Amino acid sequence: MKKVLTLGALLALAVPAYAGEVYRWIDGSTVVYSDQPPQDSLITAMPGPEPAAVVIADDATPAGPTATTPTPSIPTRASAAELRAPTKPATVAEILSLSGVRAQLSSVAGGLAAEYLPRPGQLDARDGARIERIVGQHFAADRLYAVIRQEFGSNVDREQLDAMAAWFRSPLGRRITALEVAAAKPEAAAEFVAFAANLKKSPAAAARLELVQRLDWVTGTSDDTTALALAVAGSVARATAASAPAERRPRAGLVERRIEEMRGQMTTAIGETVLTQMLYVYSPLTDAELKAYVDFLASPHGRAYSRTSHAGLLRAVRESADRTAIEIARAVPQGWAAATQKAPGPPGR
Amino acid sequence: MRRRVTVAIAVILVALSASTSLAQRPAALGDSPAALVERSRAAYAQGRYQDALETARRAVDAAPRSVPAQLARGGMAEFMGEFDEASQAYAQAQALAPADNATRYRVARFATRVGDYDRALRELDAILATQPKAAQLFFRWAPASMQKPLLKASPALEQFVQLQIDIMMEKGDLTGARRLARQHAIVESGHDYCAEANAKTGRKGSSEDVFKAFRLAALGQPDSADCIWWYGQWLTDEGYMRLGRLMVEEGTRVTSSPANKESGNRFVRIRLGGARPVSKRAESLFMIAKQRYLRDGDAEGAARLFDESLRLSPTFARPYSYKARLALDDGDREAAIRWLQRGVEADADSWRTWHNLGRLLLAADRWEDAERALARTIELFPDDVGGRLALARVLYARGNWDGYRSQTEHALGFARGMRGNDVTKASADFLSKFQRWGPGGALPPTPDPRVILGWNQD
Repeated sequence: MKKVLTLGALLALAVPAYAGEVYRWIDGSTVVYSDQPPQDSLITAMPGPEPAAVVIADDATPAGPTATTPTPSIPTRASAAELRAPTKPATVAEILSLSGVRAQLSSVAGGLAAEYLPRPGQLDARDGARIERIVGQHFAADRLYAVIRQEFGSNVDREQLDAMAAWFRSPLGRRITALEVAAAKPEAAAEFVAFAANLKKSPAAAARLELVQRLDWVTGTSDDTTALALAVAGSVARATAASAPAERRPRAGLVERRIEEMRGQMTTAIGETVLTQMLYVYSPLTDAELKAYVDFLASPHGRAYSRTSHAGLLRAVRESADRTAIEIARAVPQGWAAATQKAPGPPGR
Repeated sequence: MRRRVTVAIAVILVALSASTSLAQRPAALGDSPAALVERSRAAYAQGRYQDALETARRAVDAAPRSVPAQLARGGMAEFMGEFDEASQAYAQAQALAPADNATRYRVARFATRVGDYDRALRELDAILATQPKAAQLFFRWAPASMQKPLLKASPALEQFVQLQIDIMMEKGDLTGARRLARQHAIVESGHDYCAEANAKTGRKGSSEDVFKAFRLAALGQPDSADCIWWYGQWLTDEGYMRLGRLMVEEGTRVTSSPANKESGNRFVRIRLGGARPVSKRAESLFMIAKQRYLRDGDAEGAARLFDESLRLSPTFARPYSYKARLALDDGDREAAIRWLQRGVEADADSWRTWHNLGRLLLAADRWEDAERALARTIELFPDDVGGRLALARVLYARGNWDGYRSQTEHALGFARGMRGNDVTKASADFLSKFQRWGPGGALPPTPDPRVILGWNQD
């Protein structure tokens, strides 16, 4: 399950998610959505999606991992009008908030941190607490958020932000992110397993399979998920190697080569899992709706969104992963790497 | 007469196998010179080569006038690429026992390894000269039909002859080597060695088998240009720069096809140092250094030998690639890149060094530099599948879609013709998706498959 969280973390970002408490209030004549409550405004109940002009609150601290389970009414397709509706220039904070990236970072961070925790009973309570403290420090949501936000700030211009916002604000965009969030919640795991089992008996229709393959293609999700998994696995390998006695310490480049060799072993399994997960997440959508989403992600702005969010997350995780592993290896030199070993096999539920 | 000659030859065999029989004795206890020599041999047999050398040194320290100790030290030093030490030990052994054939034989082998072919042949002649006249005459002039069963029954004698042939081949006296091979029935007329060698390649025979088969073709079929050429290319992959070059040049000389002549000349230029042949000693040091690193994990010893190899042949490109690998394995990619840049400065036509440089720059996401290096790579060797796929990735990363498609199609077409689709399946799948859906979110894979004999490794 821990590996699933690693996988799910990137998947959630690869396909924009919407999560966390969502607040809505009226500010003058405008309806405002935010993951933070407003100051001195009237809070309304969270409605079903509607094509309303919105503005988003400025940047604030990330929300917690809990999310409301959406029950949106489903528009049949995204109209062209829906895709160009911003009333105010979009900001990075807005995109990260609307897409659910920000709201999900706590659970993403928690899932990644879990990769470093020993299996129950493998280490004593004091060492376990040390490790938890270290991973909690490095895999804090605000750290990840800062790196991703910086990535957007450096690489995405205003026009791209506006175009991204147009999609995320649209009813179909909202509905899809809601589906992604729902699928990423722990309680969806059993449903996914059942779905995957059923898929073996009743394979997906060719048209649907083509759509999710294209979705994976345009976003690079499988590839980046593999990179994310390697970042975590590699950090443990590097730290373990570095903490070995000098006479048994492998050379740094050889460790990197071994890590790279893992890529080949992971790629196929991760690719298959990603496709199955995509089939599951978007199963409520019609082919036309999914195609609209894929078309957005295949557009220059959609590509910029995927590329930037993936790059930001990867950078953040790589930095945090290496620091985490090194500190743990120093703090708990004996037995940690072995205590984190999982049963061999590809990542998956 | 026949019986007396056979007995005489047996004397040679005893001399040649003296060191072997010594090795088969049970190890003595204690630190006597003999025990140390035994221990050194045991360490060697167990793959503890540095230990074997050090033990042999101790044997010499304990008994400087012991020929077995000096030979053990010489043998281990030679094996480890410590050629000055080996040379000194062999010289002392020879001074102690000037008429000892086992010592002469070891000296001949060492002289071959460092490119002193005339000395090697002189030592072998000296061994023969110690035999009764009848034996010498028989060995030199008996008809092949009589030689063949003798060699078959006497592995040491065959080894002796094979060494003579190898020395002559490496010296460049292919005619003499062929004559000797025919004279001792190593090769026979009417036998299609070339077809046998090709069959072994097709059946994926062991490297050793393929090597022996092509060698026989080169010796037994002077007109088999392709086989001689393949032999040269096989040797090139294995690191035998000098003999590889001689064979490729011979194949190129013999072939009647102008295209093959051009191809052969290019091979010598971009794989074998062109106008700057590598000295035999540098070649040997390089090959031993590789073993010390890849087999023994002895980075420090290997680095020293690579440096010495470069000192002897500064334009020898291969050690630069290995110095780069050492740096890379230390986790210092920038230093690795610098070594490869020095390599292409030393030999601007070294295709493999450009290939390695381009791929390393690619791994560092240095697109512009990588594109330049990889463009040069495939300019030198257009059939370089791994180089083209790496260039395709650079072009893709830089948004040059036509360039990506063109390079990938070229690489896939060539790989398909040579080895089938399996080696480049991931690249083909990626291209197929690109053609269906346009550019994707990930970069194309860059397999670097082994495709053609002679172009696979340094």
